[in-house]
Amino acid sequence: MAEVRRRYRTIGDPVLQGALANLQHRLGPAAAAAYQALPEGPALRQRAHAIRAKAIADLDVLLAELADRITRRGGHVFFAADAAEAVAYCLETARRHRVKLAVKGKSMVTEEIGLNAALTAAGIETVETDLGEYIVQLAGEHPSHIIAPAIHKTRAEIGRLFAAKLNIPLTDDPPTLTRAARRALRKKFLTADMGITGVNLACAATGHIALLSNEGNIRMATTLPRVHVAFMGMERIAAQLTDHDILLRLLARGAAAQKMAGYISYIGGPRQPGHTDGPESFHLVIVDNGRSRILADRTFREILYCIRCAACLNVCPVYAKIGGHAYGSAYSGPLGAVLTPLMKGIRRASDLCLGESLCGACRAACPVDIDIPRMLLALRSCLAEGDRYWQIRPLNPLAGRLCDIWSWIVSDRRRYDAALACARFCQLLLPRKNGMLHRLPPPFSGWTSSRDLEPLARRPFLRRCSRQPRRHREAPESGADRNRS
Amino acid sequence: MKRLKAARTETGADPVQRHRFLNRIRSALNHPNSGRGAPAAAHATSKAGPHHQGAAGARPCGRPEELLQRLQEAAAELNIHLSLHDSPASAGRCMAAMITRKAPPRNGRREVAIWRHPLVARLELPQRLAGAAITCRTTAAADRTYATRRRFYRDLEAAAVGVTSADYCLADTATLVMRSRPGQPRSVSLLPDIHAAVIEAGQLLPDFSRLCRLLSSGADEGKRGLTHCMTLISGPSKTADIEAVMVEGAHGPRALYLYVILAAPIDAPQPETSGKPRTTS
Amino acid sequence: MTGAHAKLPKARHPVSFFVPCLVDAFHPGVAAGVVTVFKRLGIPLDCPPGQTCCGQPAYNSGYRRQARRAAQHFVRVFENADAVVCPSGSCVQMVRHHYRLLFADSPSWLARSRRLAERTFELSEYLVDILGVKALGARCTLRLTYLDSCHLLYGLGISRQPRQLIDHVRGTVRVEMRDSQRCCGFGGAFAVRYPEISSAMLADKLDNIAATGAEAVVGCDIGCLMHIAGMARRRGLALHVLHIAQLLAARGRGDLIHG
Ligand code: SF4
Repeated sequence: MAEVRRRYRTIGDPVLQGALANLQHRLGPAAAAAYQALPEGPALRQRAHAIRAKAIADLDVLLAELADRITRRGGHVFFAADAAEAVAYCLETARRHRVKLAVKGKSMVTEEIGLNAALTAAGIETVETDLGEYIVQLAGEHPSHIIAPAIHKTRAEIGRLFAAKLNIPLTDDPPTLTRAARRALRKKFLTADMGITGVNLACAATGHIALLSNEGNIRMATTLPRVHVAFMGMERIAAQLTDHDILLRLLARGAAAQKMAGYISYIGGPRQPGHTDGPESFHLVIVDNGRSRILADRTFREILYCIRCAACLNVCPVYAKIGGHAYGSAYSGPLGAVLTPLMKGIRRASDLCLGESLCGACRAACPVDIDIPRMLLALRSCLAEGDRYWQIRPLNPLAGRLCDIWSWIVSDRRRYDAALACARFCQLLLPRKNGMLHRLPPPFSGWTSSRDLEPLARRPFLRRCSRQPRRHREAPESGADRNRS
Repeated sequence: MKRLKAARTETGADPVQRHRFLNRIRSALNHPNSGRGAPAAAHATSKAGPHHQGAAGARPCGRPEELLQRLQEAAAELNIHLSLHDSPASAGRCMAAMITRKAPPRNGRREVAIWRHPLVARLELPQRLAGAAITCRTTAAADRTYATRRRFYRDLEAAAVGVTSADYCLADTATLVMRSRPGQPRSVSLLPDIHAAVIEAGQLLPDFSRLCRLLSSGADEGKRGLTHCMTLISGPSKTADIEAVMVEGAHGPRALYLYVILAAPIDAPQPETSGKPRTTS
Repeated sequence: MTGAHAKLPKARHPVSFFVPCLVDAFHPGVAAGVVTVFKRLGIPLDCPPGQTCCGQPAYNSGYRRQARRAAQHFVRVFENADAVVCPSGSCVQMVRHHYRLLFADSPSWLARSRRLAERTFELSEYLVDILGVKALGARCTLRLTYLDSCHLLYGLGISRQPRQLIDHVRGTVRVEMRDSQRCCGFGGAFAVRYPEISSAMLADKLDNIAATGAEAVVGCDIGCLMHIAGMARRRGLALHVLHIAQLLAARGRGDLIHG
């Protein structure tokens, strides 16, 4: 809790607040408009949801088919039960191919399993090539957004960073900075031994992985080096190409309000004889790392439908305030608020479960219509009541007791009235200013840290009704009754 | 232990590991918890969001002129330099002029990399560019070793323009679709600063949906499938990672020129049937 | 009844009035506004005296067992009603969408709550979509802006109806604020437990309201309105925070704004 709290510093940083607000203003409404403009209309999101649901229900079959097809083309498929296995496989592959330099495309799952640190520790230079990721890596930080990793950095900061690390004259001109990164990374691409990427969506029927980018870095990483290792969370698969049609169109719209990603590469194996491009050795690492545990729970299975488009981040008002780093994992925003507790422990990440206003903007923005608020509520009930499957005890048993009392009170109007009367009496003891309660005692003090509270009315509305004969239980009509006790 | 086991899987295709992995998924799908919570019911009704009113009907698949019209709109949106020609000769002239104008000298030489491809060959670029002292390198279909591959990329780096064709072009998004073929490396559309592509109007498909249906149909096109690598290109390479400012020319080409030759049977009734890349062998 | 609403429907089945607990305890005036509106419509409004709370506070904090108890009470009180109307989006969302999850394990309660959910409406939704009335004979000279509450907007898909109702109040000028669809940061316990985040969200909201130059902000959910009023008062802003029921009942500016 303290750890997450400390990260709320972001709120006081006007530059970062401005950057996040800009991002959201640019992409939030644009994505909504892009859904509207779909030839099939926004209802396509529900179809996409059904497609994802079906794919997850058939996951074992689809993965087997994908693996078989890729193996037949000469690719290698490795099934990694956890992060350690996935990382070990990559290290071993790198060792076998004598890899000294690896170029990486943006991939959340490699962030999740901590691949970069392991490669670096093994003496393999690992270069992020997505411009945003590259900036973040040069600065020694972590991405703060799953599509725009360097959204927390200003152009001036990036200019200083590049001047120091790339030896270029100080500038804050984005095109100049982009060109500098291009030059530096082009050298890496041409000399790299291994390309490492994620997978946006695999296709079982054809046996391909689809990789999306706008910059072209992923095309480089999958075209030039000798070895290509692609990491994929085991849920990122669709049955057939016509499902890709729907999902990739929605992904591009959700992520960047584009009709189509700039580049889409369908890769089904290593270079074939007679061809020029592509790796001699192609590896697909399919990662479980806690996903099958989520899969087994119907309540949370829906989060596995996610296609990592970041549309939910781009509308989330809480994300806009605290920024991606506050989520303490590779996955931020509403998606991270559900996924991270399930992967890292619900109690450990309790702030992620509780720290949302449940406004529902994420669900409306999600291209596959994932009901994130429902799952946040389910996480809260795991915290409140404990959960056998997730092996957690209630977070705050005392609050549970108080809630029991509350439920006893509200199931009878007389008790409820008595409780209100009691509260009205107590509020007489509280300091007021201009007729408003100015300071509340704990645990309500959070409210009055920045807001006043109106006091309870002298008489609840329903008390007035109940004194009338039952047949006309209508209350006295009185325009704007704001009497206060 | 685990680490060791992972390391020992020489090819990655460890049947035991795979079996265990897939079994874990199977038992998760049958887990008793799989029944609780009933999120399916929760999902069915709430028509989330205010963005739900109204649905446009699906766009008609379109006649060739209409496809061209849509292509022009999409190209404009993506800053693609699109030009229409009634013959390969006219396209070749136009492309040669563009190259002469745009290709900067690299290490004192001016070079262009071009695909070994019948339609590209009909542009007669080598002859047209000879006068401007621009060398054209045509890619060869050769079984390459890694060392020769590296050399190829070094040469390609020196080229200012990469000239390709494509299998299809999706009109709605101005997307070039290229399947892997010997002699037609995808790096030609990636490493040079400028990418120039030539297609015939008959290769136009309405949109991505049509492509997906075509490729998964049992027809001839479907049988060939996606090949081991299919690349879709919509516009020049771009990034918006620095303060969300759009910059073209991130890692790939900073400009994309698209030449469409109309002389081909533009009155062809169905794009699918005429959409076969007649130009490839 | 004036000539202005001669066309209004009359003598319908009584409608049951579901008074949100916050309205009941803090803002009886809002409930009185609803009573006025229905009186003008000539529709009898029944106000079951046993009602307390729909269970949302416990539910939103994850206390499903306790929420279920409150919900059972709610169902018992209202299940014989022909129609239930409530001047709050989040309470209606609770009944309409969350009861189903709450009672997933109990078929009989599930059926009872389903029946009730089908007949429960948010005030503006009921007026515009069910009754088909927009003009209610209210008047008030006021420059105002409408606040979209999240549960109303995202949960129930209601955004057009309240705006139409407001636009038919004679004398009002409605200006749209920027980012009206963005959460004000209330979220019940969230506002208390995470005051830093919540206040930052609220501050943005107040800035957007101030930028419209409106004298008043009108909304459909009393929780959000109390949240906004809380910071507006703390900052000493001259902003009037009104529930739509109060506006629809008003027969002049004086009904709403004193002094
Ligand atoms: S939850 Fe939905 S909106 Fe969020 S990243 Fe996943 S797919 Fe995109």
